[in-house]
Amino acid sequence: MAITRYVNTASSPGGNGTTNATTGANRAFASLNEAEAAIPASIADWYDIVCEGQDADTAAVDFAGTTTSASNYVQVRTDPNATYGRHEGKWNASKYRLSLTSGTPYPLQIHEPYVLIIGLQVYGWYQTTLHMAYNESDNSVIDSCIIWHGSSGNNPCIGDYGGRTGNVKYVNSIFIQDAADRNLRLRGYGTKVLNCVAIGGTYGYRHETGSVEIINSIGIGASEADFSGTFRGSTDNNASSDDSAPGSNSLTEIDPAAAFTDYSNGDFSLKSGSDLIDAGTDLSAVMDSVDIIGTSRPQGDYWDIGAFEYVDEGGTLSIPVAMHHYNLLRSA
Amino acid sequence: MAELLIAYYPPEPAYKSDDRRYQTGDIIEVYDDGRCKEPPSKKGMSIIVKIPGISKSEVERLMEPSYVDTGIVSPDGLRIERMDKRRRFFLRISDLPEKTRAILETERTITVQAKDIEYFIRDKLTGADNIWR
Repeated sequence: MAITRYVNTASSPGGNGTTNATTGANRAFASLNEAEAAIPASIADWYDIVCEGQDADTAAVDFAGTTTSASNYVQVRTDPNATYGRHEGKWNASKYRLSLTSGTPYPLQIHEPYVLIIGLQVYGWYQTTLHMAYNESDNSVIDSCIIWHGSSGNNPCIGDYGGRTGNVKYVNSIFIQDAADRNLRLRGYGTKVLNCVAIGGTYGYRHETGSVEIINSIGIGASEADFSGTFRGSTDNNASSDDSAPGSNSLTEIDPAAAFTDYSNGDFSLKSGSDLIDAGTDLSAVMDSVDIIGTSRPQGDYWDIGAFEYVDEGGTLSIPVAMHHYNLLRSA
Repeated sequence: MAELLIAYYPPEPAYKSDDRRYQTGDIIEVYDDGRCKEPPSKKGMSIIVKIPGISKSEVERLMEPSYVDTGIVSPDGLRIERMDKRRRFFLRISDLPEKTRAILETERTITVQAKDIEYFIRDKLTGADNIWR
């Protein structure tokens, strides 16, 4: 039986997290860190943490010390229907966000396998914003997240150290790097980056060791190269603003102003006529057929590149986002 | 005033030298004055200690974890560290004066002067007390 616990940044610390109320004995936890501290050493089924709040969650979080598996896993998510829950594909300072603007901790670390992070916004001003620990974060999934590293510390936005049995998966997510360092530092084995967007940094997707597969993803605006390193042979259908996108079906020299709805203001949804539309490949065997905001893929004949699926006139076809977690660990 | 949210999972477990989970006495989080508006839930797993005259920045160190060098070197030469203690410092709750413990047991929150509690904060690495400031 799954256990659900709630985080609400409007709550007072010391609740038991069993409801989303912000007062009373059964009030929500006041931070994700507080919720993590209450996860048992072993869990039956999956352990679900739902985050909400207009105020930033400013406490660093480290997932560690719980015995997890493919069927007994930790899931952290936001609710797309909550007023202060999930972002809509663009950084939103009124929605739940884990945001460190001082101090030196990693904002979010994963030191245990089978952790699913769905729909979170995470900002780090100095240290690596998301640290996937070596040999410990195996089979974890980052889905529909916006992860941002500020300009103050030259550290990567993502430190992926999945280890020998890594299989970490990044899906439908946006990574923004303002500092002079790598955006995604990829060192894991079996790492998959699927339908993601990497903006800025010295390198967008930087493979250093391990085995990394990148499909349907785009890198924009890196000072050295949007893609760098040797990726697995299955890497394809990517796009870059320079000429570095790997794969025979990949696109290069992409103009972000023409590809995205409002690139300069952080809206990476696709605009009409974007080269990224229908330029991806079907990944339904390894991820759910939805985009960062729950739009079904494909909308046209083929999947799009990037975190968003372009919707032509006629509306959005979507499935409830909360339902698609069951398939995230598939073939992880 | 600083406010400390502290793990409290009675009965208090024996101290373990390699523990990545919070143990009773570990400082989960620290806050500025006024963040903790209600006492912790008695069904919860935490207590709150409020210390007047101390700022949040003065007690942030209490949230430090402890890392060890695993001796593992990655294929391209990086030494791998491992977090082995969730928190380096902890409050020795079982050693607190009986009256203080009784208040924490029933109220789950207490306001104490720094001089009355700093001796009970121990560094797990050295075993020394009252060295956190």
